[in-house]
Amino acid sequence: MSISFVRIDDRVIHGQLVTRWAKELPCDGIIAIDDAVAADPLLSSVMKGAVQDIKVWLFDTATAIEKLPKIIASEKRYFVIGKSPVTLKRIIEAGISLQNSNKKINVGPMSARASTTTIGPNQSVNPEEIAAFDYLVQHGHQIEFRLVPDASSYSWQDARQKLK
Amino acid sequence: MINVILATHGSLADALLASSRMVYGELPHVFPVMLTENKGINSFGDEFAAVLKQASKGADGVVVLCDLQSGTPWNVACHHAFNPDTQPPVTVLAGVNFPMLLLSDEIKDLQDVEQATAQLLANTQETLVQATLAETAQSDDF
Repeated sequence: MSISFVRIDDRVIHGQLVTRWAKELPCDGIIAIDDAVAADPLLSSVMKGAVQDIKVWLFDTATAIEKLPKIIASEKRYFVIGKSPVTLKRIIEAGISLQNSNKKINVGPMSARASTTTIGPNQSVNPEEIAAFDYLVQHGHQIEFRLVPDASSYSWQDARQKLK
Repeated sequence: MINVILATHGSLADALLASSRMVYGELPHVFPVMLTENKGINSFGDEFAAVLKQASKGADGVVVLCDLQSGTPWNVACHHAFNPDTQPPVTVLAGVNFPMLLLSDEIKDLQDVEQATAQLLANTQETLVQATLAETAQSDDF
């Protein structure tokens, strides 16, 4: 088990937030997954520069699906960060396990956009993301909305109540 | 534990806290106090003393983050910090910015306020950086 932490964060790599989590959980490297960011070399470079002292890889979803088995087989411990629950759903659909030593999927900021519903502080979801969270829960994942390690949290089940 | 007072000219303290809610959520160890044009310096001194009393409850020390060295919030904070009767001990930093406020979350569990303040200042200095591009080539060495 070499994934030590799985997070959903719509900034993908937010320097100060990643550093904060890396102080709490073991991390030898960060695997960040987003098609749009991976396709933009300038944005990729800027985002990778936001984290000091920890190696960062940025992949599109297809490349992540190809590389994750080797990453999971590694002795080192990695953070896996996806921009959206939809990204993580696609990875699980491809047969890759996101079980991790933190035993849950953490969710950070998800900005308000068109057709989103707010479920918590700076956390909003659209219908596609709602379906993806439902999928992640059905596949045995505990979803925890928590911005930083010692902040208050709520689960997807709690959020689901607000959406009905 | 260490509590933090955010002491600023005008609404900067409340605005910094509103911004921090976006990134870190609530920061319950932070107590804002603001000097306003309509209330004046004397009223600020009273408000500061009341906030300090609140922030001191159950704390091993209080760090005051001021916006500006030698401004009124700084002067009032120093008056308390260097009074030998002040308990728990109070330290004062000037030049508060967004990273410093967020990083104060990481020193709140310490006990020694001097050590906490030195660490916060050192960590904040590292956040003052010019943007540069990182290497884009990615190895397969996991």
